[in-house]
Parts: sequence; C-alpha cells; structure tokens
Amino acid sequence: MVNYVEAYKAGLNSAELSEKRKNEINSVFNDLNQQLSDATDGKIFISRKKLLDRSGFAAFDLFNRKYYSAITAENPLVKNSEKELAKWSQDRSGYPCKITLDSDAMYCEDKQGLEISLYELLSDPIIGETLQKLQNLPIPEKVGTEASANSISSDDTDHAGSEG
Amino acid sequence: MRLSFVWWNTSLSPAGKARATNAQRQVVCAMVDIILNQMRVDFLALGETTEQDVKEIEQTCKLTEFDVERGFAKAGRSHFDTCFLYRSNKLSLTGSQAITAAKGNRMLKIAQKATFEILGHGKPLHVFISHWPSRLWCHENSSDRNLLGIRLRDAVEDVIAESGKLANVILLGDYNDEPFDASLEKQLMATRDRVLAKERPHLLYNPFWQHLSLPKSHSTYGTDDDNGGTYFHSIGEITRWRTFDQIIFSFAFLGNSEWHLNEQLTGILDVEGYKAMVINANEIFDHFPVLGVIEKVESHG
Repeated sequence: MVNYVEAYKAGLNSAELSEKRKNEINSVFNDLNQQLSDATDGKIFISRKKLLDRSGFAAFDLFNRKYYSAITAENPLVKNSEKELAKWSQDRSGYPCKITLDSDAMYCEDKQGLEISLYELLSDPIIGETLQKLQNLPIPEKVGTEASANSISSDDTDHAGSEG
Repeated sequence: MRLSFVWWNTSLSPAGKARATNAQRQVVCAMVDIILNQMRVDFLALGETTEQDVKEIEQTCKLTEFDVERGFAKAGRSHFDTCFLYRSNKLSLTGSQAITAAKGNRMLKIAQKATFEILGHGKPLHVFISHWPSRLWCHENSSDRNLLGIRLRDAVEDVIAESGKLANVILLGDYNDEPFDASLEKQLMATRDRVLAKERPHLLYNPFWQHLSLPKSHSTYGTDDDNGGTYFHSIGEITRWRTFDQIIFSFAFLGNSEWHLNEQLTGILDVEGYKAMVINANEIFDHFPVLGVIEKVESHG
C-alpha cells in the first residue's frame, strides 16, 4: 500500500523549509533597506513587486493582462517615484532566486549568494545612476503631494508601472 | 547560406593573468587570422583572454569584416574571460548577457549569452559561450559541476519559453567536463543519440560524442597521428586526451527548421603546425579549436 502519511510528512517538511527560506530572503532585503535608509536619510527603499507587463501590446489586452515580478526602488519621501531596477523570480521553495538585467542574469542559490548578487546589482552603473536620481529628487514641502518622479529622465529602467 | 562557429581556448591569460611570450601571442594572432580570414569562419569565441589580448588581436589581424564583443563582465571577484568576433555582414548582435550563479561566497560563471539576428533571415540565433572552472578549482565530482549544467539548462529553457521549441540555440565552450559527464549529458540534456534528439524537442544534440578518441581504428601499418580529443595534458595517467571543448545544437538544427547542422564539417580544427605546440609540454597551448557549421536549406515547396 502506498504510504500517504510519509508523503504528507514530507510535504509538511518541505513547506516548513520553504517558509524558512522565504523568511531568510525577506531578512536579506530588510538588512539591505536598513543600510540604504541609514546611508540616504531614508530616501531609498527597495521592494519586490508584481508589475504589469507593458511590452508590445500586452498592456492593452485588458482580459489577459500579464504581470511579472521585479525589484523596484523608490524614494519614500516622493510619491510615485518607483523605478524598476531588475526582474525578479523566486522558486516556490525559496531558492534559487533570479535577478535579471538586460546585461546580467544572476541565479542566487542561497542566502550568501543572494547577498552577493544584490551587491553586484547595486554596483551596476545604470542602477547606481537610477538610485542617485531617486535620492536627489526634490522633496515636496508636504510629504505625499504629487511630485516629480517625472523629473527622472526617461531611460531603460523607466517602465515601472506598479500594480502593487 | 552557411554559418560557421569556432570556439578556441587560447590559453593566453588564464584567470585574467597574462602569461604568454611575444612569440606565443603571435601564434594566437596567426591562428585568429587563419580561422577568420582564410577559413572564413563567421563567428569566433576565444577563451582565457583579457582586454589587452583582444586589443592586440585587433591591431595585428586584419579584421575589417568583423565586429568584436568584449565579454569581460565582472562576476563577483572574478571576470568572464571570453570574447567573440562575428562577421558583421552576416550577423547582427542584438543583445548579450552574462549568466552567473552565486552559491555561498562563490560566483559560478555559467555562460555569456549572445543573441544575433542572422541578417536577411529574421529569426534570432542564441549562442551560449561557456568557460567552466578547471577541475583544479572545481573537482570533477563537485556538486557545483552539476549546478553549472542545471543553470545552463535553465538559461536554454528561458530561450525556449520565449522563442518556442524551434529556438535556434548553439552552445559552445570549454566546459572542463566531457560529453559523458553528468553536467552536460544529464543536466544540460546534451545527448549522443541524434535520432532521439530529432524527435524530442527538449533534447540538445552534442556532436562531440564522436570526438572522444582517435577517429581511426588501430591497424598494423596505420599511424596514430590524429587527435584523441580537444585538450591534451601530457601528464595524464589514464589518458592524456580530454574532450572538454564542444559545440552543442538545439532541436531546430536537426532537420526541424530551415537551418540544419552540417555534422560532416563539425569537429576539431587541426590547423597545420599547431598540434606540435599542443603536445609540447613547454608550450602554453593545450586546447584545439572546435568548429560547428549550420546551413540554410532552401525549401523545395
């Protein structure tokens, strides 16, 4: 007879491991944000989000909208300042995760691998330029006023229509 | 129309450290000249090179028909050491990407992906150029070698997801693994079985299974002057020959699209005079170039 209890227990163990890894990945991004916030007086915040696929005619197909995951950066002091930095994907069990730029595809096999890859991402000159522009955005007098993400000049990373 | 691809590990600057004498650098320039200007190869990827090596090759060889892509992207504390040259009236480079896998404090260099448009023929061609770590730094039984194959397979899957099962994919390089090693056969799924590869779109075909030993049978009066592989190490205890350098083809090239593999022309490139340097332990050269050829078949419909 097939031992379903054994399979059930294996599933629970996998779920537990997967949860542990996802928490670990969250902790890496929390550490990253803490360090960036300290270094920029709270002007840079990194997130992982689902964005609407605007390539080709995809965005116009209202019934078959496609989304993808991305690493984004925003200046929390300026509304609508979010910019896409890289595409992001993550295995159901946590690892590997993958960070994709036009010029690089980085698979992260574990926590240290993710840290190294994020380090590489932040060292990229185009990413550096985007973050610098976000950091230098003029802060509106009242936080929360519609402001000037548009003052970031249009470039390759400028397609971050967030869908939450 | 025919397109030819060559991979050659030049042995010039392993791990980015220059070690060649002027005479040895001249040998490399002469080889590049023969491959591109005399044999009229359309794509040449070179391994163990640096920015300075490429500059010298450009200055020394007459490469007016070629564009050069320096692929020396950073990978953790190390760099990719591959570059490639391509005939600009046949191929147009539309993108290139460095593919890495970070595990612990190591950054494994999986491949550099170059995407071309074959001019006048629309459909993209994806070329993956790899120089996997030496067995000195990554043991032949290390799980990392399996990981190299798994992630290269993932990168191929990404292309297939985007371009469909008839995606034009060519993989070439010095894998420091042989066709029968798990990284290439099991993880990458590069098979010896051409008939099966023609039927199963997910399989890749590796013609270099045919280049694992001397091509001619032993005979009493025959000579053994052919190559027994693509890499020669004179101190090998069981064998001095390895087939580390390979070119691997996707399903599309096995009679399933207008571009076909020409397997007769595909193999180890034996440039006159070069073998003497490869088997000479005092020389730096230890790899032969390998050649892969595809041809466009005119439809008779």
